[in-house]
Amino acid sequence: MLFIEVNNNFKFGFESLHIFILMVFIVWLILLIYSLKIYGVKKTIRYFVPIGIASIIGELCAVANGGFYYPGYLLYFSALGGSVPVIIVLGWSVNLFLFLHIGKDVVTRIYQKQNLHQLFYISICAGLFAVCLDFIEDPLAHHNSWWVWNQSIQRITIFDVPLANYAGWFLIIGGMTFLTLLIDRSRLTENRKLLINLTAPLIVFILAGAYFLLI
Amino acid sequence: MIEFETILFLLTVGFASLILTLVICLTGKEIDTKKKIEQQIFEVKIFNFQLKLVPFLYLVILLIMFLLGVFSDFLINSIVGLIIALIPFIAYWILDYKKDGLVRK
Repeated sequence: MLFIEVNNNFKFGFESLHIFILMVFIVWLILLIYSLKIYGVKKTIRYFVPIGIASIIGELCAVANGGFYYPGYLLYFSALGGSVPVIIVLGWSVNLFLFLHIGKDVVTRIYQKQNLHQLFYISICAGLFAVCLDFIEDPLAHHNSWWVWNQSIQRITIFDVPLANYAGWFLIIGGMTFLTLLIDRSRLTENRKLLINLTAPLIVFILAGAYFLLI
Repeated sequence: MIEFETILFLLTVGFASLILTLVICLTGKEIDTKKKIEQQIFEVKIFNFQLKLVPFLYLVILLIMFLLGVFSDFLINSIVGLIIALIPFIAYWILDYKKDGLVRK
């Protein structure tokens, strides 16, 4: 079961974490309103909810597995033996919306044909752009303890951030961009597109389950 | 360590989603006429530059992150991070400028 927990020790101030939380929330709100105005409700749900669900379960697994943890936030999703701040989930939907659009803008100016190759290029581009942002966000988060990596696990790091984290950003944003655009361009009805967009990302959990079963 | 119940939960959700996705795909009727919603572009005017909302917001995020880095004694890494993170915005800006140039011609 999924529960929302409130951190009673949270006190809002002007520490870097609070500015980060405020920034993510404001950007998320602006993009949500922008998306509702341009694309309507169904498409907005498709752009914001599937990545949210996928990120909640993905992050909960990573936290439960002891990879890292999030100290000092106000609201947490707590389930599966881990806790993930609500703002982090909103942050993932912001990331997808930003990089899907910037990636699409960049690629369509170089490669105009609307085919599967174009979707592939857009996804690669979106994934790489996400990694670019991660080069400033994750080292800063590590430095300010917005999230804390488990130092006891030996791994290759870049700016004190595990290499696997950058790969994860690329795969999540690239994969979700591909899926979202593929469903966007399908000839199914809007209701079916919405349903598929909600169920399809969760198929990855077969791989996640198998991975945790084998390690 | 992750619990066995969690793994079971993940596998159940994964397989249920797979079945549901296949059912939706296989039973769906294709529609011939695709409604295309013309995309409005929200432009933000700063000095003499016209920037679209999404890249502009990205730039704002970068600048806030950079300032947070500067004020938390993380200057060198913040500068390096900012330079790398600016690549998407610069790529967008150059291609957008080229497109505008073609339109002007």
